[in-house]
Amino acid sequence: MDFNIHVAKVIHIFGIEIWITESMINSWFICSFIILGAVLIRLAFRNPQKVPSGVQNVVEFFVEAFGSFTSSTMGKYGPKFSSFYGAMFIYILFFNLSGLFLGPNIVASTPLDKQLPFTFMRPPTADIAVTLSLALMTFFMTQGYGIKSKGVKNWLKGLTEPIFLLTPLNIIGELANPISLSFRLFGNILGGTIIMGLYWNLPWFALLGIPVALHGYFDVFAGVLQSFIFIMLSMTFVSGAME
Amino acid sequence: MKFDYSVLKNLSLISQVGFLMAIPIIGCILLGSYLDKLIGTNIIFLLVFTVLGVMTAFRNLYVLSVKKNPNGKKAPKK
Repeated sequence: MDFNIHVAKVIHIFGIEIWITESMINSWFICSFIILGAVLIRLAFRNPQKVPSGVQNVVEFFVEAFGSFTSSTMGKYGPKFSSFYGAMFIYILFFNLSGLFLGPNIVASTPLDKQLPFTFMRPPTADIAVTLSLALMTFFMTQGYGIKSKGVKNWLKGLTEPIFLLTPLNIIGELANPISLSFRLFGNILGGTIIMGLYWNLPWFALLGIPVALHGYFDVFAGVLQSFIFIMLSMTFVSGAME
Repeated sequence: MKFDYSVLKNLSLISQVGFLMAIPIIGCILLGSYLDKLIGTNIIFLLVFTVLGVMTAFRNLYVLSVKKNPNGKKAPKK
């Protein structure tokens, strides 16, 4: 059993060593499917109707549901961020569920595996680099929109509230947000990946029927819940910084 | 059908409490220990940063429960 993140290729650009990891390749693979899906859905209704039907009806339902979700969480700022958080939700959701699907075989662990062009993917969100980059987006959005809505002076003043002596606490508290966001997503998905990896190495009679329930919990339930919680907290932090 | 998203929002915030309390404490302990080794002091930075971490954990708890949650604020008098 190997739960490490494999490096598929090391490239050198202007003397800088860049690692092309399994998570990067898997995320490109998943992103290409999301883009393809978006294009196909767009092509499915070239002429949008006033009274929707078929694919347009389903897409409008999801867009409206997400719009009301962002509005109820972020208040008046909701409509502005609806499309961004919708995209982020789909992105994280597909990453979390990717362990259930076949992807490119990057690093084969056994001779038999080497013959296969495809294998089950390691979810990119089980890599701290991916989750931290997503959390850092939230962090910079929180600070950026905080500065934009309050102004630099009031933003700096906010760090010294309620009294000046508490400034270090406020700074450490703000820095803890992206770390906690990234660790939560990373830990949950990596935990699920490890448990499923261990379970699949049990003798054959232990694998009858039970993995379906375990995949249902660790991949589907935890995957959907964690992607939902991630964007919910991200929305709460961003809207809180602007108020 | 109108779904009440505030329940899910509160559940997300509750599940974040543990992380927001643990991470400043662990981070500050590691930073304090690193600074002690770097400067050559005994445990002075470790002590200071541990206290800071614990205080930050409670600050985070306060911010999460009151500022980030509209239900945490006192309702206006009618």
